[in-house]
Amino acid sequence: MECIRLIDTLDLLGHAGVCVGTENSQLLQNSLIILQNENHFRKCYYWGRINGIQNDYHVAYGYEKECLSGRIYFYSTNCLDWLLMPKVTKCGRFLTPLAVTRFEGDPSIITNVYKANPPFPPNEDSKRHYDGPIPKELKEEDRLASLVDLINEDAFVVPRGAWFKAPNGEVIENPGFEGITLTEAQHLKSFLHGRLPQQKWNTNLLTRSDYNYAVDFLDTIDTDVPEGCWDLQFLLGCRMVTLHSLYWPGMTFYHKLNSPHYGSMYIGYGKKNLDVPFMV
Amino acid sequence: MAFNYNIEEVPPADLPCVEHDIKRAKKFLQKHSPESGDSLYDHLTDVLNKILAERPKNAVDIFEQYSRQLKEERFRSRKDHLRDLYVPPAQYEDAKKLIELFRQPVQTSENGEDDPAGDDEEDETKRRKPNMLDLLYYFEQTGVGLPRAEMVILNLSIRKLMADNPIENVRFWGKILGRPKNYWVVEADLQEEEINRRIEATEAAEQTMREIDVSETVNENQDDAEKEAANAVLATDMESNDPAVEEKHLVLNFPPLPEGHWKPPPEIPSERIGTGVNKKTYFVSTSPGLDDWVELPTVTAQQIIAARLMVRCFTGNLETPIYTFPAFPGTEKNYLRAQIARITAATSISPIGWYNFGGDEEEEIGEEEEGLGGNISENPHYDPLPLKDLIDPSMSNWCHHRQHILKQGRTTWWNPNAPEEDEEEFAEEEDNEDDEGAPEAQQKEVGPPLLTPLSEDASVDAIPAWTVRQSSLVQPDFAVAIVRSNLWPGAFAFATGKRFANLYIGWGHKFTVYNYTPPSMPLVQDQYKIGPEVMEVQDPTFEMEEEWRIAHLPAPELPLMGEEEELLGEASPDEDEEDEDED
Repeated sequence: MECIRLIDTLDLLGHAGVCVGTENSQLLQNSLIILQNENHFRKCYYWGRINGIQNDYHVAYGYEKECLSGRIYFYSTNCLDWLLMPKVTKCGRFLTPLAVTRFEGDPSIITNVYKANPPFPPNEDSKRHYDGPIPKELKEEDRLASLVDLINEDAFVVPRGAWFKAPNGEVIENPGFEGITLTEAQHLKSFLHGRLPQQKWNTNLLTRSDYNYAVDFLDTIDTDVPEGCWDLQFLLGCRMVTLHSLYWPGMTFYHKLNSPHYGSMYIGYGKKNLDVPFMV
Repeated sequence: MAFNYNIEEVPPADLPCVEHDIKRAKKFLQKHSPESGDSLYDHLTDVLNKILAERPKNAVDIFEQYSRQLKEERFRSRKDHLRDLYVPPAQYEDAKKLIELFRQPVQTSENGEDDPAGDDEEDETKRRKPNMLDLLYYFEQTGVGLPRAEMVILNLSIRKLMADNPIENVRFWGKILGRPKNYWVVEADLQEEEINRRIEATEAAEQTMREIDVSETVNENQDDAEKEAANAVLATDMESNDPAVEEKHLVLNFPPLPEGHWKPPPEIPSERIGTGVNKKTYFVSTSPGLDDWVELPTVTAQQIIAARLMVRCFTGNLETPIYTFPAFPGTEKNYLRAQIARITAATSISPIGWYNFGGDEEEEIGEEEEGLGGNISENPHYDPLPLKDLIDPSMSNWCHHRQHILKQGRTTWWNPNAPEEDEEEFAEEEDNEDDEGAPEAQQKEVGPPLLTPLSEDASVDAIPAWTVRQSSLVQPDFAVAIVRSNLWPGAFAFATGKRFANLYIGWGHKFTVYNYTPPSMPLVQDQYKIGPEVMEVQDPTFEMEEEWRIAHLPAPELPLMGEEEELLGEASPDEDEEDEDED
């Protein structure tokens, strides 16, 4: 969610039961504008909040130009001092899904996540799952970074046409984006994963007649399994659409139809809901 | 006169000339495309015209966009030969319904003028209408979203609900997110006359059911008798048809059919309306103002037990059938009601001192054990706790004000061994009988008493059950204390000064550390008693057969060998085989 629009969260994301309070929104807005200035970002976004036991983590990101791979993430526990998020490591990606405990709220804490939830039986060859010696301890800072990455991969959504692949390969925001229409919004095909595409480049082009490679270079969310893992709702008399990911409860995307306003925010405990196949 | 210096004249083709090149280029650009009928020249003129008219920033970056837009616009046919038809806006249908809510207050206020004269003060507090905007003000500070527009509509529609139904103590319970529709839930007490009326109705219904049951069993008995008679007749017929053959060969000696000794455990009775988990009544609506409020049915103990064993996403349709293992008795509305009961019991919390055991009823509480069934009432002398106490992470200044649901799915324990007796009587008896210690007597389940501080709550796998935050660090004198439940993500409570409220906005699922595992299937039951008749025995190998044959070979009867070899294949070499051979 763009930091200058945080004051509107109540009416936009309130339908999902989350918002940023007035005082907090002003605090975040101002501290993020300062962050934006320090890092020479073109735009600065509030990504969301991960609830911890002692403290909550607030996550923000910004980019200079490239809005997909050029994002730089920051986190903070008091919304005032923003710390640079470490790079996602392989070890972090391996161990984060295993961590079952809540975030403590102290980025320097190191926990043995392997012991509480070993991913495979001890007599099995570990080489099959992870080459190299199996790491067992995870720093909370790394866990946060990997978690944000995991959530982005699964549940970060942009409406079709909002991002634009420039001829030089850069992904930039489409300044001429005018929003998607009501009929388009009824299909999940109109929403794209905001991640580096995992499918072949022509998969999306072949499934639609009005293809345009500059716009359809990302994966659509309608191919996610199981069918029904996205909750699409129309609100305010079909003037707004919200998308919830059942895999990451707390991730909410909104888009005001026929307008360039869209955004998403995660407020939750940072736990993936693996029960989805039982639910739908 | 070989040379003319007039520059207008076309020079020979081999000489370079600017004019000529321009003309040629223009001609090329003006060539119409056979597919679209446009020419690039016209198109560029239009694009440049549009860009100049609109003057966008960084025009060169979005040039392609403009070009495409223009082509799309050109493609649309401007001539519509259909008759001009007005299409109403998408929100028109909704607006028509919502405007009714705004018309209604005029009538109620007229009625309202007559009411206060006759009503007591107590009644007024009971009939107090919840003010959602006030709630919104507090929850908004703490980061719980209740959109302004929806709250106004919700307020109006709750007023309508109260006018139409005999309910009091109305409270906005929360919202359950679903796919594709959400539920808004309102909690209320039924008025006493209504409760009595319903209890009578259910009792009458049960009475009739019982009568029907009795008559049915009588019928069944009659049916059985008739069937037996018919069977007997049939059997005699069969026998009489060809008695000679049947009597001789087909007197089959079946073992008796196995009898079932399993009896279903006695069904745990659900609690009466107005008590325990059914103390409150819940109304749900998928979109207040547009859809009607639907009253949820009362919850039974079985539903609560089954709901604990499943996860299911709500669909927003109350009649959705639920297919799970173990089977859930009912449809989505029963599941929703069970989840609401569980959430309410677990997450209804208030600052300590807000409620106390009602002054008049203290004697009764003494009788009832640990105030389990005790009535609590609002403490009129509540002294607001300071914020520092409210956000104490030990949570000792908050307490539960709803009864805990036992494993049985009830708030009060029901003894399956003494189903006929009254509960309270039995409790006394049990104390006496304790010494005898009947082996089958089950341990009485006891939940924590009412108004237990949250500090007593168990933590699940090192995750504390509650988290507290204050809404503002900079202005602690105005800040609101917010409590989030970690067991039921989405359950919130706030308190500040003389205000507190509970709210749930979430998916209606309990937090589990290791995710959901469906209960395993029960063991397959034995059809027969395991004995030598039904056991499988390894087939003997050819060598073994040969050995056996040679050992048992009667020396003189060589010609029978072929037949014997086949028969030797029998699993267990019995002596009877010899007899069978002869058959």
